[in-house]
Amino acid sequence: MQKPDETRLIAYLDGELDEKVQAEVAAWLDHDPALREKAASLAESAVHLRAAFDEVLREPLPSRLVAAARGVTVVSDSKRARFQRAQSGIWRRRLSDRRWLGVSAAASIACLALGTGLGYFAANAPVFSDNQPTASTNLASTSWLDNIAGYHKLFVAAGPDDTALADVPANEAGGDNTRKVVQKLPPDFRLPNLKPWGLVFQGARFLIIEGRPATQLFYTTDNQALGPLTVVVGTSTKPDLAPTFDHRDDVNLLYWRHHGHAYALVGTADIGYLWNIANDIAWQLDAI
Amino acid sequence: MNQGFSDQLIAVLPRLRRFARGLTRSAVEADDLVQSACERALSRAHQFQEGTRFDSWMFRIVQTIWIDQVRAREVRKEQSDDELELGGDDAVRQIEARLSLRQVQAALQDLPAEQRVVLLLVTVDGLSYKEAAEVAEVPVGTIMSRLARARLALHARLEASGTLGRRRDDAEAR
Repeated sequence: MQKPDETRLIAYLDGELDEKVQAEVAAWLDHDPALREKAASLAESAVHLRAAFDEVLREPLPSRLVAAARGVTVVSDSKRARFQRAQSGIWRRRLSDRRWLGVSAAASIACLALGTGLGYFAANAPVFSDNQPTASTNLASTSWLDNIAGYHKLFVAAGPDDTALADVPANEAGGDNTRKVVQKLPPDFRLPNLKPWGLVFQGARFLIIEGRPATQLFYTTDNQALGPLTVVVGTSTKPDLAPTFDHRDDVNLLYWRHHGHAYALVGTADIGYLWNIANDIAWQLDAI
Repeated sequence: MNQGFSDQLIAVLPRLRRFARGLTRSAVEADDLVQSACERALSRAHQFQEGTRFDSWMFRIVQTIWIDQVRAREVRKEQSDDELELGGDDAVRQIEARLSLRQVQAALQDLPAEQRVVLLLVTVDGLSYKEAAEVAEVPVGTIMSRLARARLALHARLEASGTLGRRRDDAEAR
């Protein structure tokens, strides 16, 4: 084989050659330091190019794009900003209103009791098969989504210093509790690193979702646009489910199932934020 | 409207934004392009063939709209090219001072449009040559030659600016 030209060398780097030609180019690279250097240099330029655009993937999705994808009339940026300020104000006022906390806590506990009851009922019932009618799936989804949304609000209302709501607080006098949480997670799952989002792990709670064990992870952040966030992960025997949005009593939810795992994000964050965090978790865990 | 269709669309939005950011010259312009693509996709959802790749279909829509916009605004394009030329010189000076992601983006912007598209699809987004050929609606051989020209041109720019090898130098210094 003749010395590979630059087109072939690039195709080699991109893994686009058939096995025979790939091997021939590899042989040339073994014996030609100049060619090897050229290949390394080309590969490096590709790395720079990817890095230059990767940050876009981590940016929150603009609401107008999410709305456009949903076929919703797009709200102008200024109107959206006013709406978000108003929502933020409502949320802050509610958090500072003790009466609301009482009502919220009562409602959440009632919801939690219902959800947990259904969860444990489901735990003792036969596991749904993959061809279970959709109505049953939706019914089950409703209960556990209410459950985690209710607990998320309880956790936010109580604040991260109140460790009574978490089965495992992030830190105790004995030190970091992260290991205890990891031990309870599915064996092929690890805690996602959400530090780049400014999210700080505050504790975990263990629950039953659709008859299977699950873990609810609580995070807080100084980023007011993002706000406290809950990540739920559990095992599932149900078929894969594309990321799906829901909104329940001031809380946004994004949930999906992939390869035997069920996931959910809960928070007051903009839908775009949730999508990007879901993408980040998926990238870290190859979940979606 | 089909909920599943919208869900697929939202899931691919980050990648569409990245693609559009590489095609256009500003974040706002890129998001405008993606928004137009969403609207067109929803209005033509019935044309999407089940079993084919949704992301490729969306990339094709983004590219088509972008080309339409560029063609429809020839005067504006010329003005932008002038600005780009100035921006390119400025970028080179900045590259000499320090490594910056913006400068890599600027180097990309200096490439011809069809080369930029192929670089974004293959090198940035990781599509295979065959998939990129379907999006760009050209033969695989054309993708190969365009990509090679684009990679070499980008490489030459980055090398001239001293961007390449800097990581290795930094690592060795450490």
